[in-house]
Amino acid sequence: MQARKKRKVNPHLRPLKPTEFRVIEEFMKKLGTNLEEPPENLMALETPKARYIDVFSVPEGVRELLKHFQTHYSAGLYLGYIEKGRFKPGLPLARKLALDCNRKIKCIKLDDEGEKRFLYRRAVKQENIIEWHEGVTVVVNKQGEPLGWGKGVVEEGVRAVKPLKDLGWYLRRGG
Amino acid sequence: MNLDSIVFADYKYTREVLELSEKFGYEPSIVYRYVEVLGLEGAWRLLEANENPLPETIRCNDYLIDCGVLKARLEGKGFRLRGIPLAPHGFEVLEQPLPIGATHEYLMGYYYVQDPGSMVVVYVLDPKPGEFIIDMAAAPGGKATQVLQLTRDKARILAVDVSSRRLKALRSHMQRMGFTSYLAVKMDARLLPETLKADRVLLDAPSSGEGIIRKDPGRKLKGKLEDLKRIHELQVSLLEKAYNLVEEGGVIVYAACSTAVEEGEYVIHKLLESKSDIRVESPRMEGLSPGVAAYRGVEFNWGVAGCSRLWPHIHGTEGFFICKLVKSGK
Repeated sequence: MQARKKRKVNPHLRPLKPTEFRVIEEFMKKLGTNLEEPPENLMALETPKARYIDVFSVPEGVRELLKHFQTHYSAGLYLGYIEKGRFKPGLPLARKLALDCNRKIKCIKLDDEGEKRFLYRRAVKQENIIEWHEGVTVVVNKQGEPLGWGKGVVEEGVRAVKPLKDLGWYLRRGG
Repeated sequence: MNLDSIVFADYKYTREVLELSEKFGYEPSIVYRYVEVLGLEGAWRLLEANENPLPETIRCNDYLIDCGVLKARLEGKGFRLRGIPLAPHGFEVLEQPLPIGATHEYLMGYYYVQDPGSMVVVYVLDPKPGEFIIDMAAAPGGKATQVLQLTRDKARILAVDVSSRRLKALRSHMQRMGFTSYLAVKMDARLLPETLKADRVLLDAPSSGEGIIRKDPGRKLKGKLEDLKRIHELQVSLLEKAYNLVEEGGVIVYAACSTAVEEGEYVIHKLLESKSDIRVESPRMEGLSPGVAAYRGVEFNWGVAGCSRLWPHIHGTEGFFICKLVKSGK
């Protein structure tokens, strides 16, 4: 019997599965907020052989266009990616959430030198931190502008911020 | 009558063309075209203007920041900026203490490094909130991000490109600059489904790049006639596709970063001659030069003169051809 030819699957956006949705919900809960995006907007970009899925919030009008194509490259607001059941937030989500700093979310705030170090993907020490919180959160500069995602840690009794994803990525990535 | 045999007939170079080509280091066919359109004196002025490198220019993203505030912030860091008359959001970078593409403000999405002619194309398109817009050769995203900037992220844009590498840059710029109302797809725009009907279609066509010699002097030695014919044919097929994708009453903006008539007026001429329900609309912008009405003895459809041009020696920009077309559907 002749083997059936496998259909080639292209990268494409599909609705988020409930388990995937819960992973993001958990992450947001830890931050002290919730995802305000309508659940129907949330979509996963599934790429063959990739070990992760990119997650986007795709507005309704844009979502209507998806059916015209078998393959999609990107769309809407990029939230981050899910890999091995964990959500890794992206930079556009940091920008969106930075508006809620000091209201819903406890953000980390850096001074000018701290901003510079952070955008070079370097850890920032206590002397350059204006506001500090433990764990993963949004990092902003002294004007409240988003710089990315960082993790507030205590090392040898000193507070520090480790960059997880900073805006400098746009340059390092070369695009 | 097949005009290709006239427009693409072999060039017979005069002594002046050969001398100018040698003096400025050009492939003679480019200089031949300059002289054909501008006369000897105009060609000389264009060749001289092309010797001045194109200054770096940026487009302020007023979706995220007030342009006055951005100017003050960059000047506080030692940059010197000057407004661009043709581009309301544009600044020419006169002095830069560090590369303009490496500031914190750039990373925050407050501007895009973009040549002025490219900015003008989107002002001519004049997108409105709520519209559905197709950008047929969208990457790396300069014009697509500008469309969303002008519509406050309220138009829907379908950004199409054949290159994954360039789409990666488009995605990055969309994210950096805070825009979300888009779908990017990797495909040849000629294969787009015609069930899609857009309010506006933007076609910044793949071109010879003859318009950016100020930026890339290596292009002085390209531009052979056979290459130009191949590019022209691709441009014609893409423009026909744009016509099929636009709604009745909708707008197409065709642009090419080139000074060659074969990539500009002659492409538009073919569409106007083959479709009765499309017309050229002059852009509501002052300062642009008109399209070339006749070339190599061929008089184009009268509408072609309503298209626009940017010339390095007149506007101080890159060379650009821009044409706004309206499909009446009647």
